[in-house]
Amino acid sequence: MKTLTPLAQTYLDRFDAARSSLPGHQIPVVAALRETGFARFKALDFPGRKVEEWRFTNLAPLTKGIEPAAAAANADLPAAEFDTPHVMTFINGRFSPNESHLDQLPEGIKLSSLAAELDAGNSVVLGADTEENRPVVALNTAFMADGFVLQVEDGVTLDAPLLVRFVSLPGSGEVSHHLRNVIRLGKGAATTLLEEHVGIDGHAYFANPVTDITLAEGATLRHYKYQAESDAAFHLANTDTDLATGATYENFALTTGARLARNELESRIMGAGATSILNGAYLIRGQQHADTTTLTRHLVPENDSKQVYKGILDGEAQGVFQGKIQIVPDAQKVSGDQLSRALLLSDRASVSVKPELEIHADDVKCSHGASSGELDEDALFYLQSRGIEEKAARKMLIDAFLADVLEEISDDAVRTYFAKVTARWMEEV
Amino acid sequence: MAIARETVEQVASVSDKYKYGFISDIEADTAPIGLSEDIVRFISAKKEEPEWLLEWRLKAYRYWLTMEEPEWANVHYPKIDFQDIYYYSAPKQKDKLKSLDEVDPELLEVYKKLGIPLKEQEVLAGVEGAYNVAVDAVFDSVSVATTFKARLEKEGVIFCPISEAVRDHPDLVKEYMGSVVPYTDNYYAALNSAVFTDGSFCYIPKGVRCPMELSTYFRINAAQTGQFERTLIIAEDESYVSYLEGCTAPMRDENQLHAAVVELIIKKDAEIKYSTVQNWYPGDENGVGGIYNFVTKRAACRGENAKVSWTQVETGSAITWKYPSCILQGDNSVGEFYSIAIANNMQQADTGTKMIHLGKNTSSTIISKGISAGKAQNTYRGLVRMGRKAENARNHTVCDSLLIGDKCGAHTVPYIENQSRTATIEHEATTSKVSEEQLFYCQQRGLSEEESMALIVNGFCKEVLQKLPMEFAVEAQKLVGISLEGSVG
Repeated sequence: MKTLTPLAQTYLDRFDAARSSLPGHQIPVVAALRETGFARFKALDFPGRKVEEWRFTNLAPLTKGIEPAAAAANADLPAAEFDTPHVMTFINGRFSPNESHLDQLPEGIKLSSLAAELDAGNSVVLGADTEENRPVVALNTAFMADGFVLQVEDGVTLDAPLLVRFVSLPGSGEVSHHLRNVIRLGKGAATTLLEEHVGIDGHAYFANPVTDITLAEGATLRHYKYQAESDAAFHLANTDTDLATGATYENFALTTGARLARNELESRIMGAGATSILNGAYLIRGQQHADTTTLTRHLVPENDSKQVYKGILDGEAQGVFQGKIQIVPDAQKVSGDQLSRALLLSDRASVSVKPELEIHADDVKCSHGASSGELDEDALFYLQSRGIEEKAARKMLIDAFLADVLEEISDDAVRTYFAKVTARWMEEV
Repeated sequence: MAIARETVEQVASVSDKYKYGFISDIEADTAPIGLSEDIVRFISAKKEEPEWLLEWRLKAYRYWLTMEEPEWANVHYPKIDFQDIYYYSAPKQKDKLKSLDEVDPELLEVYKKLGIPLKEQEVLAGVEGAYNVAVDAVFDSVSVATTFKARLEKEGVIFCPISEAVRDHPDLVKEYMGSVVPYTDNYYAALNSAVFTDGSFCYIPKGVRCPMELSTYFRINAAQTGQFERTLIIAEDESYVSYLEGCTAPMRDENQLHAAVVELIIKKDAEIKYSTVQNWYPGDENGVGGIYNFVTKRAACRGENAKVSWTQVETGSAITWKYPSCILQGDNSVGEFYSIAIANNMQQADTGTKMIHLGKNTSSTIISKGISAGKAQNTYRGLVRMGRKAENARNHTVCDSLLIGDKCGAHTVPYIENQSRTATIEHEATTSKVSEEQLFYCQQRGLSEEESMALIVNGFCKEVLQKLPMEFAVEAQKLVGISLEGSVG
């Protein structure tokens, strides 16, 4: 038998206790799901760099085991900056009712905690196990403890965005959170959701959220994510979305946090007229490593997908973008576009990009573009020649670089919020 | 009436299918089937090689034994039985040849049939239209003839079979062979290092602009035989050479293996232009037979301002697995890759390039045109890497795919790694089909559907075709038409 990584070994040791105590252990289907996930994780272990999907992201700093840092002793709950009446808060991977405001949700929208659903014997929300070979998802299936469950009935639309905060605070002794979130939107339903992942710098932990989204016919989900984990944290997230006919999924991920982060998204387009939009920006510095990996699968004819990702890298930061567009045989009249651009601000920063097209139908339009480089010297010179100081000119150009993609956010409040966050990040450049 | 005649010729050549599929009955000297240390020794002994080369081969063979067949490429085929291949087959030779006139007339006939003149007289006599190209003809495992040697020697250019170079210029071979593609590089490079039988060797001395194009023509003839050739080209400071490579094989029901290694060394201010028209037998429309073409090609730009340009037209082979690469070590060095890959019927092509930028101000251009028709799968796979010290390096990549028919696939897998702040990388890729409007327009002007398709595809490939030397460009254009035959209607 092969030797497992030290971190995987600790999970092996813990599973015996976990299987009889985690939420849903009394429900046979949930117990079976966990066993399947565990067996799969045990067989796969954390991926090494020889695994093609992980060639650019080295998990060794995580898999050798997490040392909970003593730093950040006086950690209060950071206040939410985004203003909305509907807030759900998880602290260290568990639902915290005291920090949540869910009483103003309109009729037809239910936002609850997975642990509560499972305790009540409701396992339907979890759906079937379709996972194949993603060890990080398998690990989540084995150890999932809580998460949010959002269910929106047919035709119901929500007025203000939902804010779900995942906060990690030092002192609990628990260093890993395996969150399983579920989103089910009924026919013609429309919702805006902002996820925020926040930590206290210096605090080391492993956040492992998996989000499972199903959009029924004509449903629209605007799904935004702000990842501002602690600078010592590991964040490996997976979001899978199924789109039915006419459904629209808009995702925007803003990444500024974590020591090592990977945001993996998979859109499965299963209906005509559906649109999958995956956008994002990553702003990283120091020793940060941020990986965005997307898979857009066009499984039927006549639908669209779009992707735009922008990265700004300072210090010794490493950025990764891997995006694959897949069009299966007979999925005709599909269009798929993708763009990835990275801006390197320092000599030690680096970026690795792998935009991939896999096309098995002929009547399609697909393109991808990727570019990487520093700020345009000519543009910088032009601005300076007009009397703008170098620093201000640089800022202006970086702003413009980012504005392009931020403008793609269709929710005004979230766009304004993300612009504020990115402006703050830039002040420290 | 010139146009009418041209059309007639075009149609005639288009309907010509694979015209190089004949088998020549030439008596061969063959090694026992299979692969072992003894076979490696046998090949080395046949070539009367020095001890060091045998040692090198054996090291490569032993290393190969420890390796696993790569499976990452997007190609699918039954496992190759490496014990079911003849590793050495050479046309029987009566005596040592003293001049071209002594080459077996039957062999000359074969090459005449292939359209490759192995005669110098015509050119020397100034016959109009004769190829002004020096040719090294490789038949199965050995080089059978090299033309214009004397003319080239006058300039100090060495152009000969690699086995002859081992004998006559051992220092050069020893210094450079394996220095760009070491035997540890990959599975097929290791195999080639162990059993390579022939190939071409070119040495262009300092300051020399090679007076004519050099060309190697590879022909596989014998059944069940693998061809493992090795080409080594060294361009000293301020030199220039244009090198052409062509290949064909008979139509057979079995698959044959071709695993070559090509190494180019380009020094300060030197330039190598390397063009390939790969037209190995692709198998029939049901995917029976055809060549497995697993090739490692790499150029090292070792000096400042060195330049290398790969141009390839890949129309043949059942499976192509080929990534001509450039290591841009010298400051200001330039790498170019222009490729047309056509896959029709059951063909599978996984091809692309690697541009490794190490020096300052290095630049590279990649233009790849992939065309899939029938049930073929065509993959572009490439890497652009900017090293930490590659200041102000630039890369521009365009890879376009064209799909003809709804049963084929086109895939793009580029890897882009940038560690240099001042480097600029641009990559764009598109996939589309031939538009109905374009086809309609051409047909409305009196072209048949097939001709229209050939015309449109040639237009799609134009940027690359223009990079080919004249004689090759004409051939390549026709090939594009032939390769797509049966893909419309």
